[in-house]
Amino acid sequence: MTGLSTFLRVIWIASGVLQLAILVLIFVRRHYRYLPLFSMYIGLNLAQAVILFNVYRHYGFNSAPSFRIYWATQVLTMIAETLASTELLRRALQDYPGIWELSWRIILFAILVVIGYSWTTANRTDQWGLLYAIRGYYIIFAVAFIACLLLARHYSIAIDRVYQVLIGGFCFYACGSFVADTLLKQQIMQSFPKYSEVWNSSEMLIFFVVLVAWTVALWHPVRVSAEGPGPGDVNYETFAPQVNARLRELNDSLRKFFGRQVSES
Amino acid sequence: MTSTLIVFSSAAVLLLAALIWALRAPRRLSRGNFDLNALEQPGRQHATYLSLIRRAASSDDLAFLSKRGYGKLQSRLHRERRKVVLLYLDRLRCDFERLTKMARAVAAVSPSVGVRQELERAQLSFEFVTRYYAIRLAFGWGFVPMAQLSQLSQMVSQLSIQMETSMREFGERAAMAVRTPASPLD
Repeated sequence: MTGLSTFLRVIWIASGVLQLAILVLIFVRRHYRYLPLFSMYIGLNLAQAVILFNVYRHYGFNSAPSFRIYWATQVLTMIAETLASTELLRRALQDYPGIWELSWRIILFAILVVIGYSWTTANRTDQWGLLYAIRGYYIIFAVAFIACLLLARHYSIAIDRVYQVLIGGFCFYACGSFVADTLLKQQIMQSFPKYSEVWNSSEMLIFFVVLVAWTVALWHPVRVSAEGPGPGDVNYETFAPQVNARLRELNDSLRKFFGRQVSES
Repeated sequence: MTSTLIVFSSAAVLLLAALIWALRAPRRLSRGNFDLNALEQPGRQHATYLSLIRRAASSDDLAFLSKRGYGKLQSRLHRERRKVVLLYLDRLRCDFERLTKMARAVAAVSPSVGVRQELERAQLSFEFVTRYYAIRLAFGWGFVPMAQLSQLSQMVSQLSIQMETSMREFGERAAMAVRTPASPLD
């Protein structure tokens, strides 16, 4: 594999081994039953690594076909990443359908923003168009998922530790990636002879850290559903809208109250 | 280091800080570990003391002491009464926070959460906090905005009464449904 430094090779192989370990854990611990999209994401990542290994060996790391194949497979991985993290969030909020309803709207809005942003940046003629699109994706990904976690926090929802680590890992990787992408674009970096290697190494190191955290987390069983009667109970479904209607009335009356105070003053 | 790198790095740091904060275990969980005693306490624990606070903030007693020539006593009384009013204001805020927390707990376990409703609640909290700090600021400058304090207290009372009614009805209906599981709910 010409053009690939020893450090990159080592970290790449280590990441591959860890991903394989995660995949084994997923099957041994039967996590695939509850996390099929996450399992698919890890599988896809591993498949991408195998494909790229052969491509780099055949064409070399810095060749045009390698570049094209990398980005083509990367788009698939990124779609799988979004689906996997959405699945994790849905699982984490499975006992809170109302909050999940708010969360998926945030994610959907973020997806639309990513598509819009990518559409705009893809029309750039310079070499950085693709990088801008990827950076936009990671920023919006991080903002959307962290916003969902903040929403859960606002409603005092305790997310299971395994889901916390898995979702947190995705967010951490997204934050690290957009900083690395920004770093790559810097003029000062481009003065170094192998500046692209810094970008590759930093992204792979961040991913490696995330993989370590995921391996530890997936060692534990994932929480399937809440104990005792949940909000899906027939009784609850009848009462909760009434309580919500009451709260709405309360909000309306307080608004009227404020309106009166303002007009009096 | 260009400005773009600084902006994006700062954004990443802020996002990571938000992530850590969001993933930190909340002290009270909405399911299983929520403090049920909080629901049983009357929401307007402190709002009921408004008439006493109004009396404490009135200038009649101070004017009387001043007229009698007890200048020192007057200033001490003024200082201590101010402390009491500020303490009352703080407690009022605690009442309000507890009530909104209760409303959030109900929303968290609800199968459907209205965005408009939640935004209204957020707006309500914002209005309360704004009024609260405006009153505190007025106190800091030596004013006694009694009318505003009454408004704030009334707001908590109203919120509390409606929350209590909602919770009581909720409880009664739940109890009724448990007794007669097959009957249609009114």
